[in-house]
Amino acid sequence: MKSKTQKTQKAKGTVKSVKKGTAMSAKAKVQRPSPKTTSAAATRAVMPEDLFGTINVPEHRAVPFGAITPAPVRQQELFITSNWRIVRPVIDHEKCTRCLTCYIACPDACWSFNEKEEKMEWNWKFCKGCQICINECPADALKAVPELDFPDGVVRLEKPF
Amino acid sequence: MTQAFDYKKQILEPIKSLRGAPRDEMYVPGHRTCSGCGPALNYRLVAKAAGQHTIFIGPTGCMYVANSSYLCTPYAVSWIHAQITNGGAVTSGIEAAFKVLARKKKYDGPFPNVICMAGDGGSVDIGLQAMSALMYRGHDALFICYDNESYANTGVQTSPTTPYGAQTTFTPPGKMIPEGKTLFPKDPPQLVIGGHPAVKYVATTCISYPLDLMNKVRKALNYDGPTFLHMLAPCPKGWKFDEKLTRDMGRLAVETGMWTLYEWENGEYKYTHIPKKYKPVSEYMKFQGRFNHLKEEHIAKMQAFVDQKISRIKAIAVEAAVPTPKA
Amino acid sequence: MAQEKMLSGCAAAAQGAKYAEVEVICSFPIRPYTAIMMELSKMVANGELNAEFLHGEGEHAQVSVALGASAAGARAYTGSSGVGVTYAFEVYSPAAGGRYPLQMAIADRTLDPPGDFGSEHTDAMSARDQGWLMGWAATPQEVFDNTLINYRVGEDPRVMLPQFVCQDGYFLSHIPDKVILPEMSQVREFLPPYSAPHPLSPTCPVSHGPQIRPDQGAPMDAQRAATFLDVPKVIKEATSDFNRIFGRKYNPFLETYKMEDAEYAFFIQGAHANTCKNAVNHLRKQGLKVGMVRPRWIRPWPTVEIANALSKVKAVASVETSTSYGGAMRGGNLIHELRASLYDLPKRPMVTSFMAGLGGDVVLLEDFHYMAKILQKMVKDRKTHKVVYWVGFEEEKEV
Repeated sequence: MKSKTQKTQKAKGTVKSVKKGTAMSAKAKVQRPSPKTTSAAATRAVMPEDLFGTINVPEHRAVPFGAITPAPVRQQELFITSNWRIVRPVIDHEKCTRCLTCYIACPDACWSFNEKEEKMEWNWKFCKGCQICINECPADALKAVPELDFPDGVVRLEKPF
Repeated sequence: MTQAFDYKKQILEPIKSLRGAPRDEMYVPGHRTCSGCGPALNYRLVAKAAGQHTIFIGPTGCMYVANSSYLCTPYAVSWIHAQITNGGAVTSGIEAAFKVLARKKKYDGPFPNVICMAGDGGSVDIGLQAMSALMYRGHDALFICYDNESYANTGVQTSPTTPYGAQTTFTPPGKMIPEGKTLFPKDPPQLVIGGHPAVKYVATTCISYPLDLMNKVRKALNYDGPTFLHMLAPCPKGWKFDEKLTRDMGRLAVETGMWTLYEWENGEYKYTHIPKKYKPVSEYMKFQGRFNHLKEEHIAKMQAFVDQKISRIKAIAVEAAVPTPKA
Repeated sequence: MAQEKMLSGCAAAAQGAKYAEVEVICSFPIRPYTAIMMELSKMVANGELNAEFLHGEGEHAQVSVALGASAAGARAYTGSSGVGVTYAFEVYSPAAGGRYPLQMAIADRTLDPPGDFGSEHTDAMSARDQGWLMGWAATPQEVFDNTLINYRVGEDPRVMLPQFVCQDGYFLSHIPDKVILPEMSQVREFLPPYSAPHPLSPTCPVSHGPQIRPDQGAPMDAQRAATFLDVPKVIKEATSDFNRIFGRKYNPFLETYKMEDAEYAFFIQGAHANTCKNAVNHLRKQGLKVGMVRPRWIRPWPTVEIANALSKVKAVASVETSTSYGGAMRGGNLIHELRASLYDLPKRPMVTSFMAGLGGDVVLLEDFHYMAKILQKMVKDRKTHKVVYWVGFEEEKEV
C-alpha cells in the first residue's frame, strides 16, 4: 500500500505573512437595501472578508501534518544518547565466545554481531552505559571503563539531542 | 460483528537460537527510555520477533512518552499513539480496517501483525475495558501488557499490578500504613483466561528468557484471533535497583515464584522454567529499594501469597486440562 | 434508481452512511441515536453494505475504534447521544489533531443529571472546541445530505478533519419525512474514496503521534487553526457540487428565510427551525417583517455570512436549545458567538436570547410569537431589557 504524500502540503493550511484583521468602521460602506431589492443585493458584504487574517507558523517550529513522522530505519538519529553514559563496555575479543548474550540483553540494541569479521560490534552513538551487558556476559569478556578515559569519550554534546 | 473470510497471513517460524533470531532491529537505538529500561528491552524483543510486517499501537505510558520524545520514535515499523484508556479499541479499529480493506481489494498484502503494547495501567486498570472488549470481539490482534508494576511514566504511582508492600509515590510507607501498599495485585492473564471465549492463547514472559519470549510472541501472532501476553519488564527507576541488574531481577522473579512463566492454550496450562526449588522472596526483594521499608511480617505475607500461587502450579500440572468451549 | 422514501432522521443517517460506503462502523446503544446503528447492522448482515460492524464497549471506545480505522485508511463511522457524547470526550482532540476524518452522527439528548431522553443541543455543543467540523440538520433529507457533504469536506486533503453531523433527538431522529435517495453513480461522482495521506501501513512505516517538544504545542494549535481558515472554501465547493449533482439548493453556510426585507430575525439551529418558518409566515401575515437565519455549520462558524445576513435587522432573537451555565449571557451559547459575529458591524442589531426546546420541550408557534413581541418591545423601547428569556417561565410578566 503506497502512501500518497502529494497533498500534505495543502493540508497544512495557509502559511503567509500575517495581516491583522482591520476594524470594520474605518473601511466598509454600509448598504441599506430598499424593500424591493433582490436577495443577492441584500446580502452584499458589509464585513471585511479578511477578518481573520492568515496564520504564519515559522518553518523551524512547524509540526508535521497530524504529528505524523517517518519511521527510522536502523537507528533514530534525532535522539542520540551517547552523552548519557559515564562508563562504556570494553570487550576482550579473545575471551568473547560469541554467545550473543550482550546482543540480546541490551535495551538499546547497541551490540551487533558482525558476521564477516565474526566479532561483536558496539554502538558508540547510542550506548547509555547501563552495564547490563557487562553484568550478563558469561565469559567475563566485558568490563566497564570510565568514558573520560577515551579520546572519543563523550562528555556533552553540542546541542541536547 | 466481524464477518469470516480468508485472509493470508505470514506464519512466523519458531526461533531456535540467538544466532537464528532475526538480526534486524524493529525497535532501533535512539530513545529516551531510562538506562537499563526493562520495558524497552521487552519492546525490542517483541519487535524483533514480530518483524517488519507489523503495526504497533502505543497507549500512553513509558513506552509512549519515553520512546517518542521528541517527534521521533524508535519504531522501524508503523506505530500509532493511543490514549491510555483505549489501546484495545484503537487496535480493534485498525484490525477491522485491514479486514474490510482486504475484502474490498483496497489492500492486497498479507494481514499485518497488529500488536497493542500497553503498560499495566493501560491493560488492567484504566485500559481494562478496551482490552477486554478486544479479547471479546475476537479481533486478530495481540494485546501485550508490559508490566513494570506501576504507572512509571508519571513518576511511579501504584497500579493494580504493583506488588503488596511496594513503595510508590501513592503508597508511601508511614506510621499508619507501614507496608506502603496494602493491596495484592490483579492477575492480568487470569482476567483474560477467565471469561473471553474467543481467546485461544495467553502466556507470560520475562525479558531474562529472550528465546522463550520471542517464540511466545510468534506463537501468539500466528493464531487467528485475540491473544494476550503478560510480560514482566523490570524497571530500575520504579523498583529502585541498580540499572545493570535488570535481567537479574527478571531471573530472580521467576526463581522465587514472584513471576511464573506459563502458556495457556485452548484450556491447557503449560509451565516453563519451573525452578526445582524456589528461592525465598526475600532474595528478590532485597535488591529493590521499593521493598526496603518492609518488616519480617510483611515479607512473610508476601511469601505466603507466592506459596499459594506456586502450590496452584503444582496442582494444575497434575490435573487434567480445564475444559473450554471449542472456537 | 433514485427513490423517494419516508425516513426518520436516524434512518436517513444510516442511508447516508450506506451510500457513503463506510467501511468500519462502531456501535453502542444510547437513546435516541441507536436506530442509526440498528439500521446499519441490518444492512451489513444482509450484504447491502460491505463494512466491519464492531460492537463497541462504550462511546469512548466507539470514537477510538473509528480513529484507529481511519488511521489505517478506512472510512469510519460512529455516533452517539447525550452522556455518550460527553463520555467519548477524551478522544475528540486526538481525532481532530491527528487529522482522522471519521464521522460521528449525533442525535442530541439532554445531559444527565438525571436521566432525560429529550432533545437538547448541549451534549454536542460542549464539544465544539475540540476541532471537529460541526453542524445541525433540520430535516431528514438534510441529515442524509450532510452525511455525504461532511465526508466530502472532512476527507478533502486541505481539511482532513473529523465531523459531527448533528440532528435533534426525537424531533428529527424519530419523525419521518420525505427523503430522496440518489443513485449510487451520483454519490460516486460527488464523493471520492477516502485516501489517507500517511496511513498505518506495514509496507510504508510511519509513526502517528509521537510526543512533541514543549515549544511545538503552540505551532500545532496554530496549524490546526490555519486549517479552519481553509475549510469555508472547501464547504462552498462541496455544496456547489452537491447542489449541481443532486439537484438541491443549499446555501453553503446558512438557511435564510424571508430575510430580504426583514427588520426582525430569529437565529435558530436544528429541527425547531421548521416551526420557526411557520411562525415567520404567521407573523408576516400579521404585518411583522420578520425572517429566520439558520446556521447549517457551527464549526467553522460562518462569522461573516451571519453578520451579512443580519446586518440590516433591528433585533435578533437567538433561540437557544442548549445551555451554558454561568456563561456571559447566563443562558445558552449560540448567543455568544452570534454577538461576536455582529460586533464589528457599523450598526449592530439588538440581540437577545430565548431558552427554548430544552430537555426535550417542543418549541411552539406561540413561543415564537412571544419572542417576536419581546423583539418589538426592545426596538420600541430602544433597550435590550434582558439578554436571556426562559420561554415558558415568564410570559405573563414580560408582555
